[in-house]
Amino acid sequence: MMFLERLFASYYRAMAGTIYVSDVPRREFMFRGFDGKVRRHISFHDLSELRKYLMSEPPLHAYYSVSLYRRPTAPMEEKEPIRAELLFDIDSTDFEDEGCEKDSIWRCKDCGYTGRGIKPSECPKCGSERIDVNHWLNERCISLTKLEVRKLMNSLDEEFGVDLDAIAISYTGNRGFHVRVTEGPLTSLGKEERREIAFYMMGRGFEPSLFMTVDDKGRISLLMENGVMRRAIELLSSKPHMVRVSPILKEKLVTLTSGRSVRLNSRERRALTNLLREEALRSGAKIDWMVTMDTGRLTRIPNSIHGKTGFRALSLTLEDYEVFDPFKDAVGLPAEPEVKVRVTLDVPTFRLKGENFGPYSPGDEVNLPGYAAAFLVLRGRAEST
Amino acid sequence: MYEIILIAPFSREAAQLLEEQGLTLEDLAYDPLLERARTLARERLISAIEGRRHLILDRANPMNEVYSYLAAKLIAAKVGRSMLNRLANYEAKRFMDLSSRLSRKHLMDLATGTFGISLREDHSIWMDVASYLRGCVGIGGAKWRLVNRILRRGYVLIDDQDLRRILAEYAKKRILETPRVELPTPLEEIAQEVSDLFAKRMKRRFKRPKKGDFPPCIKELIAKIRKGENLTHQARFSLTAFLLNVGWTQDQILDLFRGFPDFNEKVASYQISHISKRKYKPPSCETMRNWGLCPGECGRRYMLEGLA
Repeated sequence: MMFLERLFASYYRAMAGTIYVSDVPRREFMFRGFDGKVRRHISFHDLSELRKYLMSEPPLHAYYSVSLYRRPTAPMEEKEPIRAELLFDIDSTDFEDEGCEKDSIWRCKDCGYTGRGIKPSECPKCGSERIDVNHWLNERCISLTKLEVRKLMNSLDEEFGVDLDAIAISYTGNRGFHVRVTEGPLTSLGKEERREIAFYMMGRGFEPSLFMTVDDKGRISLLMENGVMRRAIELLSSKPHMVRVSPILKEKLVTLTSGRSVRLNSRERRALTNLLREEALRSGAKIDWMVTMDTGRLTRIPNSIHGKTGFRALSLTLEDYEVFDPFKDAVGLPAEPEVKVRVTLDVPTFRLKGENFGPYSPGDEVNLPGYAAAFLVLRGRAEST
Repeated sequence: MYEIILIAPFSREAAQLLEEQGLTLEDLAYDPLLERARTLARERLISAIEGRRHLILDRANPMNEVYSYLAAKLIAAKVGRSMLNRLANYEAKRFMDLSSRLSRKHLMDLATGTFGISLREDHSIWMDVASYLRGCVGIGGAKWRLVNRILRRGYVLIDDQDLRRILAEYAKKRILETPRVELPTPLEEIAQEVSDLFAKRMKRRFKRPKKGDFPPCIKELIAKIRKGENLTHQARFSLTAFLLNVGWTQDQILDLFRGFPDFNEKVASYQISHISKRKYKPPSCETMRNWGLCPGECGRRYMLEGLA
């Protein structure tokens, strides 16, 4: 592990100046060291003290609290929260997407059976549910999560009326993004209120029947002013999922979505309601609502190094997240020194800083630039020799 | 003006009048001219305990509404958290009943002036989303969820009825912020009486079988009742269905529900027996999550998992 520490140290020595957290003295910090030890309830007087700390004791993982506290170093119950950033966590690990998981390797903890791709709910050999996954990350994970960032951004802007200056986007350093609202009235909300926001974004709990009106002739029309309804309809009109409804209902649906009213029997009405409910979820942002709700959350410090990839948790502007490529832009560790590693699990071809590496098989010994060696070791697919 | 303080004794207008008069706690306790206010305060508290929808209105002297509201708050806070919850609920209902008499303009003034809510008006009313959320989280039902609302540029569309309901929630919250202070003897005496009556009502409440290892969602709901907090309809349904399924009797559940600030024996026992008759199963974890009742992953796949 020594080489990793050296690489991390050299990153922080050169780049500590890019570490920025607002209101440093009011935050709690947490670090996980290379020895596996966790240090919590830490606070700093100012930004420069935080940066110095990162230089002198480079951590494997570095976190700060979304909350501002009157007493950041006190135990949780006595911290006295002031306000908290509203945090959205998008992680492709939750998506169960085949493309994104195609090089993930799972292993049954009981019988040792392994396979690739999406983790099965139970081991096909022994039926055990105890299955470990070694995730891989690829371009697909990133492009998928970017779509979700865009959904959040649109909604925060147009629906929640959040000032764009008060929104921060950052790459998590692994398989997703964080979107935060840093200022404004939403930052003073409690847990329950935040859950409402998360569910809105996700389209969860949407009740389509509230947006159906019946005229005196028994004809139904849809009210489209609700953002969730609008998104559901858009997705529905954009075809592929429509296959599952009957041709008659399909026709009526076209009429409805164009703003006109139709007569529906109770079965059709039920089918429509269920369909809209599903589309609301499908078109909603895929976020981890428990993160959004948790005002006591600790989250990765922007521009620090993620200890499972060696990538920078890069903070991004509203313009450049769309073109951002972590395999180029977020590589933060130096190339020197070159490191020899022994591969322990299959490694697919991957590209870092424009250079192709792999594929490698278990037992291969390869000389790699520091950042590429760190990537494989941190992902648990190789060890240093 | 008098109409406002009569209907909304928690309003800024009422608070200003109190301030102008320089009313002290001693006055509230001893001033012979405030005897009527003390009587009304006692009535407010008893109505709250007994779940009566008794609308006290002293039209001859609207300030008595304000004095008695204030005294009742202080006494309830002294008696304890559950009593304060109960009073808060009572006052919220009282406001709901009476506020239909207020014009939209009055209601909007109340929202902005008293609670700092930001509103916009075209033909309908738009409330800033943060204020809306603070109100709606205390209210059950699908139509109150943000996901089922029209939200534009930071404002949520509401109607007059919604505004009243949200204001009632704010009024409730404000009462819950009442500090606990030592009371002068005459008020303390009322507190004693109220406390005894309340204890008598609650007595049979916590005699129930062993808790076992319930899932965290259920534990949380029970803890909330213990604190005298209200639960949404869905929460009550889930809890009832769960408890019936682990073998509680209807009476045991009824006793637990005595802790609700809006407890009404007739309604509650009807609902419980209805759920029992239909043999409802407790909701799935997915449904619980959608209802906002899942406090977090607990590893169970369904509520009754691991319970005999």
